Amino acid sequence: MIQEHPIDELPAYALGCLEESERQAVERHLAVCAECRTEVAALRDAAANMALSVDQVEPAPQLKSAILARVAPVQTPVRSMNLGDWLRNLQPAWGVAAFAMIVLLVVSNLILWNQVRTLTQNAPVSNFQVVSLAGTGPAEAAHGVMIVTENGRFGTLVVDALPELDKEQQYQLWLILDGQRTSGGVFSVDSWGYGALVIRAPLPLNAYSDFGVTVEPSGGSPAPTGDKVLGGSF
Amino acid sequence: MFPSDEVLLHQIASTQSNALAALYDRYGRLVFSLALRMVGNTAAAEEITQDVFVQVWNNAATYQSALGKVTTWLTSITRYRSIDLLRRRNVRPDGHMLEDSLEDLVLSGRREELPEIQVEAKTDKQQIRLALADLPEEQRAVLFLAYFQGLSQPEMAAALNQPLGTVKTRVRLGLQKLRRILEDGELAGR
Repeated sequence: MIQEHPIDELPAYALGCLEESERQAVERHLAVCAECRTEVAALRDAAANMALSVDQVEPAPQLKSAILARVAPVQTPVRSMNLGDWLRNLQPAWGVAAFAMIVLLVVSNLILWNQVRTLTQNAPVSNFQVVSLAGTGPAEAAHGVMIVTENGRFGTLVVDALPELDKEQQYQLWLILDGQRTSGGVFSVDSWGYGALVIRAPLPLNAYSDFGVTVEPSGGSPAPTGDKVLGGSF
Repeated sequence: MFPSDEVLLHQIASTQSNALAALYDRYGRLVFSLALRMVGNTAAAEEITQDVFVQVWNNAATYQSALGKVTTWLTSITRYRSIDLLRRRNVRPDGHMLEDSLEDLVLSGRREELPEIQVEAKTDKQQIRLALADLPEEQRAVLFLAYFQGLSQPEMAAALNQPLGTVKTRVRLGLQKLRRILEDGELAGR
């Protein structure tokens, strides 16, 4: 199932100097080949060393505070108090709710982090088929991946860096066969642009040739109406 | 004990801004200097540095150590943002600029141009400069054009007036050799 390793292209891929069509071909291979992913990681680390050869210049001291102001503008007053002071300043019911929310967020972060680590450790996905989806139009920076079981009966779509939508809108996955578009389900993304969808389809997923994601009214449309934001093919 | 880069990213993913401050203390100079080297303008390099660390803040949870070191991730983001800015400003090097910068790039990387390196003062920077100096000039040139100026292989072939196949071979051999030198510490002539 894994085509020949594109070993000669990997250095240029790691340097980011392949042509678009060559880059896509390498990425399709990387999605199913842990060996080449490891090779690319080592080549990337080697290339990144070139950054260390640059004469280092001290940035202006205010740059650090500008960055911290951008990432946590609302935390500054809170940080001057400890957690206990902050909770005492709240109404009791809100204090309990806020504390529970903090605990929940910390726990969910830890669980998510562990999941990410486990995924990394279990990187080979040879029993699954993987389809990469690239961002288009208004969501050029976005990307997605569909993981489909070998028999095509089950699949999950995971997306990253999609723009967050208004409440009235959702993303919709389209499964394309001979130009016919069938809905694979609707989903939303969080403020980080991350979202996931368990795909529902009338046919096995490997029966479809192409996949697309569009912006639709909340709940989805019978056929695509909005901007296409992601696309990919088997 | 200082937390590792990975631990800092873990803390950043849990929205601990002091961890981002620590990561900045560690790598702010590197990111700023690389951006400055690529875009040649202090204000733009500061803007890129801000964007890089904000992106790290937003995406720390997506970092995967299997895909490369934290410094590789940081420098990759810096490069993409710098190249994006160069493309948006349409300040791609024309023939003349390229000639100057090539000469500058290639000569500045030569071994005889390097200041004498004392054994006890061997830093990463000096090691890497020595490794780069050990590459044949034509391989060093394509690596620099790709890495610091974001040129694709066809763009390099046109700029250098060389067949595309030749450029591809230089890129492949150059990066493989650089990797080997740095991994094995097998710097020639020492």
